[in-house]
Amino acid sequence: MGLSRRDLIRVCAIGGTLGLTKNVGIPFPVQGSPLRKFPRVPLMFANGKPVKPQSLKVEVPYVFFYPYRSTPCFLIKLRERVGPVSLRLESGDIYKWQGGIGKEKTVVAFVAICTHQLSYPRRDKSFLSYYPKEKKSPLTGKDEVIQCCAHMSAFDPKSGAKPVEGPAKDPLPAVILHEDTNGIYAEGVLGKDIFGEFFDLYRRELRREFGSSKKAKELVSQATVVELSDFTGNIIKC
Amino acid sequence: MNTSRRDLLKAGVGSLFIATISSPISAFSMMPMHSGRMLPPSKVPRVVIVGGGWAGVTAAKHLKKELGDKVDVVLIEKRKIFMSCPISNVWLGGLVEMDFLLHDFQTPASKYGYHFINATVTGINRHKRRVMTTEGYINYDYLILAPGIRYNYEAWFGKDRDLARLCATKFPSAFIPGSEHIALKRKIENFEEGTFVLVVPPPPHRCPPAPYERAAMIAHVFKKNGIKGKLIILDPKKEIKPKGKGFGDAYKQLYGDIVEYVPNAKVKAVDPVKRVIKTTAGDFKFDDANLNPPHQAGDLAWLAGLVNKKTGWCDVDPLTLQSKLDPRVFVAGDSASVKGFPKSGDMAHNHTQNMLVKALAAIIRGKDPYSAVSAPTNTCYSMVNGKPKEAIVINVLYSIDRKKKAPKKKKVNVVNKRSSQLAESTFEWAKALYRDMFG
Repeated sequence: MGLSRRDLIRVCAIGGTLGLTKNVGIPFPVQGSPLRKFPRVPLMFANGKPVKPQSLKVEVPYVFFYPYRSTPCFLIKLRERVGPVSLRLESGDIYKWQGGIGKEKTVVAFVAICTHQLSYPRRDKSFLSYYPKEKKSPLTGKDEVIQCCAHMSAFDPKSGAKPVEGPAKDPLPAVILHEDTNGIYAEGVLGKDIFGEFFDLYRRELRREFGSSKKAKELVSQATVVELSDFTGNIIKC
Repeated sequence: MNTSRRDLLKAGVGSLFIATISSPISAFSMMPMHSGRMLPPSKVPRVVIVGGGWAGVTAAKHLKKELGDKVDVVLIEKRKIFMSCPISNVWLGGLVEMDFLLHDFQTPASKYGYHFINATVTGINRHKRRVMTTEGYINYDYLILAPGIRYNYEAWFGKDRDLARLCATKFPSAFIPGSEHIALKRKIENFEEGTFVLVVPPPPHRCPPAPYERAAMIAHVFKKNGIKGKLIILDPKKEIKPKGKGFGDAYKQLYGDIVEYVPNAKVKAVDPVKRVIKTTAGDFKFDDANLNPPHQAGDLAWLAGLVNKKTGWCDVDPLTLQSKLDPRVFVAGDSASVKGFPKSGDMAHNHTQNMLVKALAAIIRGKDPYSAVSAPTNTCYSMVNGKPKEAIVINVLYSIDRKKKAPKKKKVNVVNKRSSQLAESTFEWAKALYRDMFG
């Protein structure tokens, strides 16, 4: 599925009129905010239980696939409350990210595809991971960051996954989360549109894993959440 | 008309014969080269890129990505296939297959919408803004020179080009990808006993850690093959730089019986016939060797008349990579001289994408090039162990001093503790950049 820029702006406008912002302070469009609305899907654990903020371990990265069955995202419960942040893309577009959700506003989710050269967590290994507080990266010396060990880009999840070191110019796209009494839902993606390039550059790998590009691009109807360390036995740290 | 190689050779011999009895002009006219114009004139600014290495291929893609139909991009490269110099040491060590290094020029040209011309550049007329090639000529609005490096054998052999050729044949450097790498690999694999010498070129040279990584990979092969021999590293510097501790630890802990590191060994004379190198640290006889002469800007930079003869490199604006001698020419990759920028594949990719392309795109749009550029980074992994695969890494962050209009080092991150995880990252680093350049 490809969305044109015009579609995006339209989606933003629709989001505004439908009151997309009412529950979670969803981002308001600023200068053509790159918000893409996707079907709302519940986040579930592998045992079928809904994911709720209180059921997440603090500073442990979880993986789920959204909005496509091949596009990984990180779900992290941070230590402290995370408020809304304005972010800027290399293109100059500015958007506002909602911050954390949950009672304590600590739960965040980002697309786990590095905006620099699109490395992403795979079953055999993950070059992207989260460095908890006081477990610093030996290379960059940073903690509380999502870091990519291909070209050493680091992103700050407390600031909307803004790049804080390395070659990446754009924040990791944020997954728009919604919480109600039944649990947490994903309902859109905000930030740089990297899916088109991802599907193009990883065509061979995705075909191998999913059978065809078309299958890799299927939208999910439910997202299963697992710890990164359960998803892959080889988390590359640097 | 299809002309076979044999026909061409016959025509060449015939023309040479005619030349001896008539005039050299008739001989030239018989050469199997095209002299007409290539491609119709462009309605939008045309950027011609000569040299399809890391910098040239990066420039072609990212200019199109930046400007789309507002620019016409032509990449000219003489080789039939792209072979990556980064990761070639790892291949020398037998840790990846050759196809990891090989890529085609056609797919990215077709995918990203630039012209690819497989031809050898024979002349550059900057006054006419014209590049002459074996396939014809082409005019440009802007020229990007990305010719990589040339070996400065003159520093060792003066004007004795025959001796230089002999040295290059018997002891190829393999810092320019291709046949030399294959020859060097055969040497390493066939070595059975005695002394193997590796000469580290004096700085600045292509990829500062590469000679040390190569030494580790050669030592790995010797160790794997149970060779009773020495690998002597002759380094003109007083110590290993960068990642000195990481390399030093690997040599000592993994290859203690094999590697002998000799600092302050500036080459005074090389005798490729008697197999002797005279250096400021003494004379060294060898059984086989990887002899690396000093590096300079690539041949095409000399052809264009843009090399500073004192340094051997091209003087450029350190933010835009624009030649200081010709504002219509930009120099990408190793031929450019920018203080603090190593001549690495990663740096070539980074400064081309973030500085040169952004600046040139701004100029074409009629905007200020200086405010368009962003600071690059440089990441260099070095494989130091083959079993298990283990690597070390340096990562340099730059900032831009807008007042001085120059980049400066902001932070240097180094991990000298070798690890398998960094070895995995080495491959991911390369795959991602190949993906970026070749689609």
